[in-house]
Amino acid sequence: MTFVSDLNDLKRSVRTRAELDLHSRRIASWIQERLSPGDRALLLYSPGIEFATAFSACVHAGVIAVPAPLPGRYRHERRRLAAIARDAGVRAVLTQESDLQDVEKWIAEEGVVGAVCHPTDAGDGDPDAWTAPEVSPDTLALLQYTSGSTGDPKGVMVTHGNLAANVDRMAAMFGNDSNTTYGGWIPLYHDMGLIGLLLPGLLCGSGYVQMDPMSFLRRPYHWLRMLDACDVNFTAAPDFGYEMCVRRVTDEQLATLDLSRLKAADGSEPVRADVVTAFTERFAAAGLRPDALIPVYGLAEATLMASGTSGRPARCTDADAAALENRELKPATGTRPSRVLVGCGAPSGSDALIVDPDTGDALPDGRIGEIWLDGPCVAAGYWENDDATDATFHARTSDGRGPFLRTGDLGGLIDGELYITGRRKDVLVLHGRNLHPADIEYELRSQHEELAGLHGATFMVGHDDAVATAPAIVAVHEIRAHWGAERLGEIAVDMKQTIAREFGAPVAAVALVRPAGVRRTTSGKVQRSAMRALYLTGELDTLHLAEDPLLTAALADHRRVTAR
Amino acid sequence: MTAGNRDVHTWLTERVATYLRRSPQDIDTSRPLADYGLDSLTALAITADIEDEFEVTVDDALTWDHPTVDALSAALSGLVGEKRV
Repeated sequence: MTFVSDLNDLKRSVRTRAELDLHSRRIASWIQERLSPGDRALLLYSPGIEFATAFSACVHAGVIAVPAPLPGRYRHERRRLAAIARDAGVRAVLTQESDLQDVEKWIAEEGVVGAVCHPTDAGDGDPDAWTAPEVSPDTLALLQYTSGSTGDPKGVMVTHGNLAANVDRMAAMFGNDSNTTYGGWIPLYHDMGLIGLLLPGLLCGSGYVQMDPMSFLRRPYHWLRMLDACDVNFTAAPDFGYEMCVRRVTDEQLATLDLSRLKAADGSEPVRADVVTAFTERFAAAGLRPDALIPVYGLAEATLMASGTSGRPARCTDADAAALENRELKPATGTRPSRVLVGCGAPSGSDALIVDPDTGDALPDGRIGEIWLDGPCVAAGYWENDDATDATFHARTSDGRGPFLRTGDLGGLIDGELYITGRRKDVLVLHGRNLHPADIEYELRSQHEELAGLHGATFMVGHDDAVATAPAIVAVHEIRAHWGAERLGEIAVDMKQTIAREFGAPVAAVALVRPAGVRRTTSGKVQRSAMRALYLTGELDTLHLAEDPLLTAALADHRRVTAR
Repeated sequence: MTAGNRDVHTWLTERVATYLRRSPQDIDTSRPLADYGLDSLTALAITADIEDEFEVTVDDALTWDHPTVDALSAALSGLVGEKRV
């Protein structure tokens, strides 16, 4: 495996298979002296070659790896990481010498106890003392904490059998083989980076090439240049990554690229038809094949990939907008309002069933329902959380079939192709990350005393609601009315700043409403989808609305169409 | 490319407007960029452009510490000035 540390002169550090094996056994023997098989180890690493080595060492030691992002500079990130460490009951925090100081500071600040902190690149451990653990397909390899809010983190239990099955199915689906080099910028604590690129590169391909995500985010061209210069054949990124390339790679830069050897998976957030088309057309000039960009659908609860395709251009279907509202997938005819949906290929990682989420009835092709999955890629459940595991992993249809994994995603099948049309759950998917409305609302209240003790509802616009705007967050929050117009305006701007800074997310609007203006169930649960519906139709009664003019215009169009 | 006598404020307003999908005259340079939907990706893009344009190294947090075009361009003029000395 290779890490490209400097994209200007393509400076690389390389670890061969023999070196990876040696260091894995060395670190594994250190772990085996201190931990028992089945214990959990938190993996906190800046981008580089050490993470992959430590992950491999955990597998060698029979210890369950818990990959997570480094503590970061924001309070909610540090709190979330501490919640993960506690939920997983980690016995070791593995890191590298260059990150050690930050990690130790976080451990002290957050009061994480019961775990030994160890830099795996310090050279400790005797490779010859390593003994192979007992492993079966049901042995847990990994806890993936992409689900659950800070207050309620959920670790998806991924087994060795899950990983092997998903890696095999992805390779078969995408037509990859032992000559395929994998690579990209997605962080390795993200399942798309770890399971989608690193593992297949090491297990069934000819290697894996990594770069720093920050380098991509600053200069998207560096990703494409790395793929070309390092002969990478397969990469993956969330949809926004391809959009960034379209918007920010210049003609001059494009002229230097040869992308003719590349396949690229696009997933982990809704795939937008205009992005697929624009990327494919723009980079055709660099030799990109028309079938190179592959829309995929997946989730951590199904290991990673649930559906995909290859060998043909992405299938974009113009769907009748009114039929979509009635939960039907019907190709649009004539001049009726429509929405272009991108097919995410055939269910291939798991078997998919479309089910009415309220009745549990299985639905035929062409009907929209919740996507339920079954097969060897469905994970074993959530770590030490029987209630959530039962609710999500043990679903049965009204005629008794099951158990199925409930994805929480809405979609339908036409001609064997899976189309995703929305989500049932409140979770916000942005830039390939899952953001939890409750976390954002909590942070708003803790930083803005005017909101204390009141309720809020955050949701997204621009993804799957036919509002023609870039995906962004809308925050509705209650506030007491005595603040006067000028002060309300200031508070709204400050709230936008808080969300953008702490969560990195674009905010299209803040709506301040009277106390009790946010709808809740009798048990006190915030009804975010109801608030979103009120907002989209323009029926929300606000004290102050700070709305981006671009969104105002898009909403006016949307309301005109839906009022017809 | 170096800054030369180019107006930092004008350059910045143009860059910001492009990223936030509007025209320069629609940007009120005294308003926080978050009000126009600035996110962390766009913030990084702007810092990268600043580095390329003025050949300086800036912290990733620059656009958050100086949240308006006015504040950012003042901070930037300072940096570019320092470099020339």
